[in-house]
Amino acid sequence: MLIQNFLESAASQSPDREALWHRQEWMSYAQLEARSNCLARALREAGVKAGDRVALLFDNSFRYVIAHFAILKAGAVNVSLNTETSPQTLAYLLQDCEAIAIFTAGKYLPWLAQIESRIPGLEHVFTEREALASFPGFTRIHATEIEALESQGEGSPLLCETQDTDLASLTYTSGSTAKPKGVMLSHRNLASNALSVVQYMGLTPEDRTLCVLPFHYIYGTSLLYTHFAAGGSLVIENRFAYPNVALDTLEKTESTGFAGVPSTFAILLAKSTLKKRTFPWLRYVAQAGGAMAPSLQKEVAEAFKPARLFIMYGCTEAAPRLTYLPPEILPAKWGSIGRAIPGVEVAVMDESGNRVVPGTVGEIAARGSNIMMGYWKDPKATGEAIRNGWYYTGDLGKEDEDGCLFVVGRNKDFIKAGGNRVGAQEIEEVLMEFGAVSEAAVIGVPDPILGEAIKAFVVPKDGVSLDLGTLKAHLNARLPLFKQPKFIEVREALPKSSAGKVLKAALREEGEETGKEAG
Amino acid sequence: MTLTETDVKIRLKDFLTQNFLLGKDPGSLKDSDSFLDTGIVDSTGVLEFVAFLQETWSIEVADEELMPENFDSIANLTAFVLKKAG
Repeated sequence: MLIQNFLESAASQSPDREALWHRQEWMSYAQLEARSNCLARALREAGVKAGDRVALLFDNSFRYVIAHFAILKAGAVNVSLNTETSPQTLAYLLQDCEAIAIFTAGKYLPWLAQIESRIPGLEHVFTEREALASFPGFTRIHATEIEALESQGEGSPLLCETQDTDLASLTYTSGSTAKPKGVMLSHRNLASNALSVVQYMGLTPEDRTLCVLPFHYIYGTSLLYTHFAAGGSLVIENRFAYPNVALDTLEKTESTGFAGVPSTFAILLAKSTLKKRTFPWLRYVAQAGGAMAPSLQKEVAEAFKPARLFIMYGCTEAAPRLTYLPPEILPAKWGSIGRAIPGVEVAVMDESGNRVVPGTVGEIAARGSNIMMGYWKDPKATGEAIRNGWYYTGDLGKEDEDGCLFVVGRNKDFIKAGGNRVGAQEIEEVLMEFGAVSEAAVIGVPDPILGEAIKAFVVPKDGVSLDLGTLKAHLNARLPLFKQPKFIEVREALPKSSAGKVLKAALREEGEETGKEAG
Repeated sequence: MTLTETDVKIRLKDFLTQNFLLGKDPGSLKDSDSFLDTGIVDSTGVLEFVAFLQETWSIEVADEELMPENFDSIANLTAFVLKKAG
């Protein structure tokens, strides 16, 4: 099963069924299928071959989905990039994945021109007509407008020799080192996982989910694939910055499903009219993307009832779903992430790779057809993550007597801020690049909206004045907005072990109480 | 002292520059530019504006008022502040 088969099958069976909604308009499966086939042909004619990486840099939109499936239909590998980015990050990612082409929103053209000399492998940029008209052009890269290509030529599927074990996507995620890691996911990884989710959620062609999560994020990708696999619909709503707008859309489109990360629900409960409204068509609500406090789970369940609340757990490396908690047992298992989804095996392991008994804390590991092929060009990291056939998540957890899992901590130094997984080390290294900083440590501190907020501790060099405004500008020039610390505290020294390692646990204990910004 | 449109815009642009535009040229942002469309402000950013309005002008924002027509540009925000504080 290939990912594009979901679209092709739905278009064949129900060509006129509504597939996508965006900005008050619907696009049918037939329309989506035809346009993505045309765009796939354009990719082939541009010289894109099977296995080539093609990047995608668009907000959620019809255009994103058309390009996403076009890339797969051409036999290429989809590299969906985070739209909250910077020229430096773009240069690194495009160079690392060796993208031959990119579909991009016009607003990124100046950045691409700025980094053109650093991405020698990029040959083609496909972008919006309006932006291209006023763009002075690249020195070497060939730029083409997308609009004409979407309706040019034959709208039937291309002959494609892709196998389900072939690479379908490279999804970049933060690693414990400074650079993001490319998670290699095959068609089998993604398709098997999507079908498992369809099964346990009972998705049907009548289902329609409101999507406020970006498609470049694996959870957003999963919403796209699962609902297409079921022959259902997706309602794209990019205005969650105004949560009431999202609720209006949920109501207006009579959506049967809604998915979010913990901060999505925290914002809805704190800053929207959610509690005063009812959504009679809403059948299910899903939460993943980090631990949601039991108190918040209870509020969400209450606010959305009688819709069923699915608490879920996973990671990019698992394409992405590993466990879910059946809604019916949620009232007895607040805080649990449930049990393995169909087709996946999950276990809690000790350091020797043996399963531990219920109640004992160990590392959560998983195996199944959804587990990634590995990390792109990083066999060492792959070997550290996948051992003896099991993928080790880096999360510490335990199982209760009923086989329900609970996450108790994070093994690796990540911060899950607002649904984004952010590596502390990357931020620390950028801080250390600032001339006046002698030492830096970054932790996550509890935040009622984000789940975790990023807090940085910096120690200035002796005799050097550290200006926080200049430091923030330094961070802004090098990191996308979501990786920038919410709090920065200047310290004379950081707590350390006898071995000289910064004791982040001690900082966390202090940070939970105050989290104040100094300077 | 009566709050003027100019006063409000200056404070808002200052807040925007310090918290969202860091290092970027604020002159490139038109009063009518959508924060959403330009990608300057995300969902948590809008909530920071809510907190700023409360701290600066003691404006309480009702849940139903958190809408693009009140928050999604300098012009919209200025009009909202003048309406609530006036």
